[in-house]
Amino acid sequence: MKKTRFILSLALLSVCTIVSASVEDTVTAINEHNSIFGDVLTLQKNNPAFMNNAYDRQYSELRIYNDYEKLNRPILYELGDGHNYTGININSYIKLNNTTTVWGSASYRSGNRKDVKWNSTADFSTLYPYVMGDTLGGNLNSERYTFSGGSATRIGRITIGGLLYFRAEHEYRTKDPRPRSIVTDLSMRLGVSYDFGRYLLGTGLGAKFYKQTNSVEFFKEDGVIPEYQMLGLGMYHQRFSGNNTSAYYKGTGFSYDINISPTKKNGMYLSAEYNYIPYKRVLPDMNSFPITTLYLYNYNCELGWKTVQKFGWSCFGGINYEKRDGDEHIAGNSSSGEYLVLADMTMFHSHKTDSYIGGALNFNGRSQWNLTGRIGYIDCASNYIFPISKMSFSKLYERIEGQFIRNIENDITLNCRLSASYFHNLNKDITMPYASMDHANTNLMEYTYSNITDNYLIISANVRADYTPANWKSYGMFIELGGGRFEGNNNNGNKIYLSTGITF
Amino acid sequence: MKKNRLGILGLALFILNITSACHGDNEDYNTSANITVTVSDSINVEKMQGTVTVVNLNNKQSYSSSEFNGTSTLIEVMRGSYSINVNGTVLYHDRQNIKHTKSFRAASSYSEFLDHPAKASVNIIFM
Repeated sequence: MKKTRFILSLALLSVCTIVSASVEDTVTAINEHNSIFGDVLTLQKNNPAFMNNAYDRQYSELRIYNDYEKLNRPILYELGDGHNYTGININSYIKLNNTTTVWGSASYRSGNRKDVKWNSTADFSTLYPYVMGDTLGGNLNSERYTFSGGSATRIGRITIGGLLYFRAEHEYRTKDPRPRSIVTDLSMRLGVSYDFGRYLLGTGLGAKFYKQTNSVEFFKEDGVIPEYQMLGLGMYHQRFSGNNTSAYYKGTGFSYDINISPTKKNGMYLSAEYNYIPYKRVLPDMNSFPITTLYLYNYNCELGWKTVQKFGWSCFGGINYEKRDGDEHIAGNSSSGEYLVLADMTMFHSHKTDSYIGGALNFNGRSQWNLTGRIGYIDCASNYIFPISKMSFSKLYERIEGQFIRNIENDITLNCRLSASYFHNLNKDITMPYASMDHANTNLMEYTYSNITDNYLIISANVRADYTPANWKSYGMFIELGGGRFEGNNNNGNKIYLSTGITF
Repeated sequence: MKKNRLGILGLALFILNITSACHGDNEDYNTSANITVTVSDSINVEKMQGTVTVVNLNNKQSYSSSEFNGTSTLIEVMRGSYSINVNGTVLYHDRQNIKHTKSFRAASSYSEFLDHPAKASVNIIFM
């Protein structure tokens, strides 16, 4: 804990020493970095070379926040029915000169997730279905630290950029069953772009190194319950579930992107990104036997047009496709405690497609008005080879968001956002080997299926007030309050977000 | 110009290499398992009947067959490691041509069914 405070203080001090050369037009910088119109067609920002002209003005922000969310019951048992996080974030985007930009962030978050069941592993959304779980569960405490830093510099017509991102996460419970997960996640990205005059064409390569150690302990005299090594769609590894309460995950992956964007913000945007990472799950108690490997693919593509003037507009369309293939490694007989891999079988398949089209409007007068809208189609399907299990659904969704930014006094700026999204389920299908499933697994699958195929409405509102008096020079402070409501047939809940901080 | 072309070609090859260096599905799921009950040379089996049950050690799926061809039976199973259990009755004659009918069992705690077809033998134990 002391070490964490020291590192965060160092990060804050190092950012503050850059501050004296930062924001001249503070209000314009705040508005530019907090505009929903500015967030349209920004996939190219994943390439560090394109961060050089991502914003016209530099901006730094230190924020302390509390994020609370609670549902009446979980949508997925594995993710729980809410969370309560408190954290501190520092973000900075600095233009050192006409050719070089640096940016960075540091954050610390602490809190808990509530009522998590069937999941004793961190990063469920990344690693599913290959997690460890039990039927009891409980609240999970967590701590997370992230650091990132990037730099882009222009030499003639070529811009080169690099980015490093690191996340460390610790998740644990202080009553039986007591899972403990420690995650380290390091990503690096290199990008290059060429200025053809009207457009920038660029490409980038990235690498990701992931590791997680995961274990469950029981300290009470009441005894233990089995920990299941899940295999997908309610299946679990019969041979190695029960007393095996440790696992570790490791993954090394890469990413690749191609981007075209206009040099002066007006014009065509085209972005395509490919990510691939295999995650291996290993049982250390079985002499490091690799029980499963999850192959995770992500394809992301977006095309659009944007005009940035007094009256700006944009239209865009895109596809985000995620594919998961799960290999099970068949174990032979143990010889001297070592299990050999006899064969590999791809037993689990899953895909998720999100196709969308949308548009955005921006009006800059005395006030800034922004409106973005999107219609999309989501298609999800998972299947397990034997015994045959399938689950699929498709949804149509609409999302609309409006924003109003205005200087209400000389030194107070108000930023209000309102959004609404509706997800309507079109098709659904389930096939399960109920005859061979026990009661707990049947409940897990039926519960999950009824919730993910539900219709739901999400509305949210957010108000931020920035105070930037002239005698504070480039400094300002802000307070932000947000809330949201999730409404479905089976699940409903609320979200509250409170934040305050300084800008510079 | 030549250097530029070589650079683009190198980049294209690299891109092709990394996009093709991804996982191909392992779809070799099933095999036919030929399980033979072995008897000593002094026994001539006239007819064997019973039930062969194999249990996959990893997912506990069980498969059974009661169709004997001589002392063997063929079962379609998912590839993997199995335990084998056989229970049945055998009609045989010995070297003196005397006929006997006896109950038997046979078992193996570990057999691998990976090849196409897979083979396993279990020794007969008379009850």
